[in-house]
Amino acid sequence: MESHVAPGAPPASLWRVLRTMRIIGRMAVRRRLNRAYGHLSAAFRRKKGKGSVNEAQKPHRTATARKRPVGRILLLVVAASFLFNGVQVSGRLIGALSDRSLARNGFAVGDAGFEAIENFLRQFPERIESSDSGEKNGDRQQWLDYLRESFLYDLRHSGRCIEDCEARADKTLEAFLEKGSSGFYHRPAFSLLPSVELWPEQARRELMARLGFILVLLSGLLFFSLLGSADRDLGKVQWDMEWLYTFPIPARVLFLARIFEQALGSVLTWLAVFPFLFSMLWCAGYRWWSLPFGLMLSVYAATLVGSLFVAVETFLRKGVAPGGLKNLQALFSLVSVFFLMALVLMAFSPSAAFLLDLVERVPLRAAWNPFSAPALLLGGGREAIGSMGMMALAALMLPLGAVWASEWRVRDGLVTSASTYQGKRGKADPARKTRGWEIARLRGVFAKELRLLFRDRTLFTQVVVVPVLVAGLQIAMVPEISRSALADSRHLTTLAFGIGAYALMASAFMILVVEGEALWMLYTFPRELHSILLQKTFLWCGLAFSYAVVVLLLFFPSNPSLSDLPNAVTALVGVVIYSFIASGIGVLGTDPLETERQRKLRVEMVYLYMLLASLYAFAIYSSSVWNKIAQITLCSLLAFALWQKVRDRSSYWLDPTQDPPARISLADGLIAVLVFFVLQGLLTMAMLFAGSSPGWSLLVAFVLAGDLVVFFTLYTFWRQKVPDLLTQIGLRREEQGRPLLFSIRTGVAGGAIAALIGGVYLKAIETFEPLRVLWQDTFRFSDLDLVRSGWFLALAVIAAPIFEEYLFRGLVYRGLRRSTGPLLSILGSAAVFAIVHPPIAVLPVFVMGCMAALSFEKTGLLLSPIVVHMVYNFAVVGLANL
Amino acid sequence: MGSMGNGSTPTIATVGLTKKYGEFCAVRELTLDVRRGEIVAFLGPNGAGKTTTIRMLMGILQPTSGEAAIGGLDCFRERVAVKRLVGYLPDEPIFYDYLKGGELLDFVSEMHGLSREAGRLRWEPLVGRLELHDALGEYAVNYSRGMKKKLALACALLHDPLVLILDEPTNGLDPYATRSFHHVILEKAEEGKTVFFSTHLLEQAEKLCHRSAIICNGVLAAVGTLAELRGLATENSSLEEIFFALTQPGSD
Repeated sequence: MESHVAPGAPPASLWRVLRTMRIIGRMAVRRRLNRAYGHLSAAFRRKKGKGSVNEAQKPHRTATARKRPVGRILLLVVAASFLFNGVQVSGRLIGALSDRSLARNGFAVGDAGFEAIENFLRQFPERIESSDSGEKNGDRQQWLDYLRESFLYDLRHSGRCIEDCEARADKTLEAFLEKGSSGFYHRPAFSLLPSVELWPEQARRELMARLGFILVLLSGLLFFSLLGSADRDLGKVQWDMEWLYTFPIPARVLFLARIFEQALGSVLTWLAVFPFLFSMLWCAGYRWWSLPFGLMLSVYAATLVGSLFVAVETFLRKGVAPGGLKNLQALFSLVSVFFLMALVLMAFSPSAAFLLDLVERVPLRAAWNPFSAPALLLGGGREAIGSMGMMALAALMLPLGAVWASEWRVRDGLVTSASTYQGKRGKADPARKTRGWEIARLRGVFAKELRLLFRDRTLFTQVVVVPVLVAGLQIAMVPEISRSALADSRHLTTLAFGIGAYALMASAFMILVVEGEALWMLYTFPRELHSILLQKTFLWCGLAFSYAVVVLLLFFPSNPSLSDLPNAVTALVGVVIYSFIASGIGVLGTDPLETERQRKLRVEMVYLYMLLASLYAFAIYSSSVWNKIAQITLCSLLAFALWQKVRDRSSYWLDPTQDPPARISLADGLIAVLVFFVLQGLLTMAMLFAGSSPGWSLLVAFVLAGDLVVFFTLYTFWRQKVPDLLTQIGLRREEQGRPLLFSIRTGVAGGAIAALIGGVYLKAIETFEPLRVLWQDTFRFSDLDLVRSGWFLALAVIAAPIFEEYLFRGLVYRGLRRSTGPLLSILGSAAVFAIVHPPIAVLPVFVMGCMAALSFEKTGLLLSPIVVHMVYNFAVVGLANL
Repeated sequence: MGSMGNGSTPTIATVGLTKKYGEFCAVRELTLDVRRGEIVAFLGPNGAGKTTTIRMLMGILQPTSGEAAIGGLDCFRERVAVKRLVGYLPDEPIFYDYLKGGELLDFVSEMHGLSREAGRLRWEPLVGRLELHDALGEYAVNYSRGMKKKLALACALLHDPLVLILDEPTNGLDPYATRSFHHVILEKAEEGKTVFFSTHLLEQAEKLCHRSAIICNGVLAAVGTLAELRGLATENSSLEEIFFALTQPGSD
C-alpha cells in the first residue's frame, strides 16, 4: 500500500483535513457509544426461548445488543458517578500532597476539631497560663477534654491513623497548648467538591512541583493503558487502519485523526485526567471556570499522550514480530496497573508514606516539562506565561512530530509481513523429537490448556501473575497482614484460602469462556462435554491449591501446634471444593452463543462466587470441628448440585431456543430445605410474638411452613412439566411397585433398627462424659416441660416425619439419585439431614437418615421413610422422657 | 462413482425430524436414509435448514420431534457413541488461538483416544495429500480460510470414521485442494464409508454424489439419483435446472 496519495486525488487542504478528522472522529465516537449502550442494554436482554419470531430466526446473537432508552439513561448515570468518583479521589490526592507541605507548619484538624478550637478561643480569648485561678482551671480542663475529644473524633474518622489515635490526639493537644491556634490549619472533611483550603498560599510553589509530578504519572498511566489495551491487538494488523487506508486520504491525516481519536476516546482521559485537572483548578480557586479550563487542559494532555502513543505504536508494529508484540502489550498493561495503584495508594492509604516522600523530593525545576505544564499555570506571574508558551509549543510540535515520524515509518507500506501464512520452500527438517518434558507427557485437555496458558500472555497474566501481584502488593503495603498471619493460624489459613479462591476466579471461572468460538470442536469428540470441563477444573484446582500451599509455607508458624491442623485442612479442602463451585457457577453463567468475549460471562455470577467464598471463612473461624464438617458437607453438596445443572445443560448450549427438560435436581432440594427452615423460624417467632404457648407455636409453625413448601415445590414442578412427578417424589406407587403393606413393613423394620441404635446412643450419653456435657448444654436453654408436652409429641411423631421426609428423601435424595448411585445418594441425603439437627443428635439421626433413604430406595414410596422416622422419633422421645 | 454398499440398515436415518425455534419451524418432518458407502449431497437455498439438520445429526441440537439415528444409535441421546462413528467438518471452522496446526491435530487425536504416535501415523499422509505440511508449524488462527478448512478436514478424517458429515466442504478451497478432496471422498466411499455433505455447488454435487436431497424452507423437496430427480421435475438434464424448478419461492 502506498503511503502517498494516489495521483489524481485532490490535494489535502486544511479544510479537507479537518473534515476527514471530523468524519473519523464521529465514527469512533459512534462505535464507542454503541458498545457502551450495548453493554448496558444487555442487562435487559430477553432470556432464551422467549424471543419473538424475529429473534428466533437469527440463532446467533449479534455482537451489540439493540439499543434501548434505558441504556442511554444508564450510561449517563454510570458516567456521572465515575466522574464524581474521580473528582473525589483527586481531591484526596491533592489533600494528601498538601498535607505534607503544611505538616511542617502545623497540624491538620478536621471540622470537629476546628469548630472546637473556635469555640475554645471564644471562651478563652487570651492564652491561658496553667497557673491561673482554680475555678477557671477546672472549667478549662473540661474545655481541654472537649478539645481532645474532638481531635480524637477527627483522627478516627479521617482514617489517617490506624493504631495510635489516642497518642496523636494527645500530641495535638500539647501542640495547641504551646502554639495556640496558629499551629493549626483547617482541613475540612470531604464535601461534594474539594475545597480551596487544600491549596494554601504558603506552600504554593512546592505543591505545583508535586502536582506536576502527578500529572506526569497520569500521562504515563494513560500512555501505557492505551498501549496495553486489550481489545486492540497490536499483534494483528488493525483492520480499521488497513481499511481506512483504502480511502483517498493521505497517511498523515489518518495518523493525525488517530491521535485525537485514541487519546480523546480513551475512558481514562475522561475519568482520571479530567477530574484531576478539574480538582486542581478548583482548589486553586477558579471555581466554575475549572470546568471549561479543565476540559481544555485535558484535551491538551490527551493530545500529548496521543501523539506519543501513535508514534510508538507505529514503530512497534513495523519493528517487532507479532509474538513479541503480545508480550510487550501484556507488559505495558502491567505497567499501567502499577501507575494506577501508585496514584490510588497515595490518595487513600496511610501506609503509602514512602510514595509521598518520593513525590516530595521533586524539585520545581522538574516541573518544566510539557506534561507538568498545566500545574505551573497556577503559579501566576512569570511561571504562568512561561508554561503557556511551553504548552503551545508542545501542543504544536508533538502531534506534528509524531505524524511526520509515523508517516516516515510507513513510507514503504503499512503492512510488510503477510498476515496469513504463506509457506516457504526449503529443506524438510528431520522429524523433531517431542520435547521430553511435562507438556509432551500430558495428554488431551491438560496439554492443550497448559499450552494455551503459556502462550496466551493475557490469560497467563490474569491467572498466574495478577493474584501474586495483588496479594503481594497488599502484603507489602499493609504490614498488619503478615503480622496477623504469623500470629494466628486462623488468619493464615483464611489468607491461604482467600488467595486460592482469588486465583480460581480468573481461571476456573472462565473455563467455558476461553473456549470461545472453538467450542464446536469439543462437540465432535466421543466424550461428554461436562467431563471435558471437569478435567479443566482439575487443572485449575491444582494451580489454586499450590498457591494456597505456598502461602501456608510462607507464613508457617514457628511453633506449630496440632490444633492448627483442622484449620489448615479446612482451608485446603475448601480450595478444592471451591474450584468446582467456581467452575460450576462460571459455566452456568456463560452464554456460549455470545460472540463478544467480554459479554459472555454474566458479571453477577462473579459477585455471587465472591460472596460464597467469603462465607467459607466462617468455617475456618468457628472453633468447633462440628461446624467445619457441616460447612464442608454443605459446600460439597452445593458443588455437586451446580455440576448436576451443568450436566443437564451441556447438551443444549448451542441451541438458542431450547432449555433442558425440567427434572428434580439436588439444587431444588437444598433450596427447599433452606426455605423450609427459614419459614419455620419466622412463623415461630411470629406466633410467639402473638402470645401463643411455645409448644403450640412450634407445632403450628412447623406444619404451616411444611405445607407451604410442599405446595410450592409441587406446584413449581408441575408448572415446569417434570415428567412422572408424583412417582418421582414417591407420592404415588410405581407401576410395578411393591404393595402398600410391604412399604409399611419395611418402614417399621428400618425404624426399629434406627431406634435400637438410638437407644444405645442414649445409654452412651449417660456413660460418656463429653456426650453428657453436650446433652446438658443442648437442653440448658430450652424448656424441659416443652419436651414433655403433648404438642411436642405430636410434632415429633406426626408432623416432623411427614414434612422432613418429603424434603430430605423426596427432594434431596431423588435429586442426588438422578446423577449418582444409591450409596452416595443415601449418604448425601442423610448428611444434609444430620446437619440440620443439633450436634448431640447427629450420629443417631444420620443412621436414621440412612435407614429411611434405604427403605425409600427399596419401596419407592414416601410412606416407608415416614414410618421409619415416626418409629424412631417415638422411640427416642419416649426413651428420653423415661 | 463407486459401488453402493449393500442396501441393508441405513447408516444415517432420520424419521420425521423436526426442529422449531419458538414459532419458527426450521426443519419440518425430514425423512431421509443414507446407506453404507453412499455419497449424498444435501442441497438447498440459504436458510433452508441444511445447517440445522446437520447440527441435529451431530447431537448439537435436540430435535423438537422425530428421530435421527446414525449407525442405529440415536444422535442426541447416544451422542458420545455416535461421535466415534462420525467425522464432522463445520462451515466456518474456528480454532483456538495460540495453537499450531500440528498441535491441534495432536489434540484431536488424543481426544479421540489415539496416542500421539498413532494419530501422527494417521494424519501425516492426509496432511501430505492436502498439502498442508508446511503450515503445521504456524498458529492455526493465522491460516487463510481454505487452509483452515483443510485442517478441519484432516481433523475430521483422523479417527477413520464410518460416516462423514461435511458442511460446505469445498467452500474456500483452491482447485488443487478441491480435486484432492474429491479423490479422498471417492476413496472413502469405495471403502464403504458414508458421506453426507451440504453444498451450493451444483456441478460438484452432480459429479460427485450418488443421490441428492433438496431441501427448501425446511421441507424435503426431493431426494434421489439424478435420473429420479429428472423424472420429478422437468425433462432438463442438469441438476441446476432441477434445483431451480423445485425450489421456486412458490413451490413446496
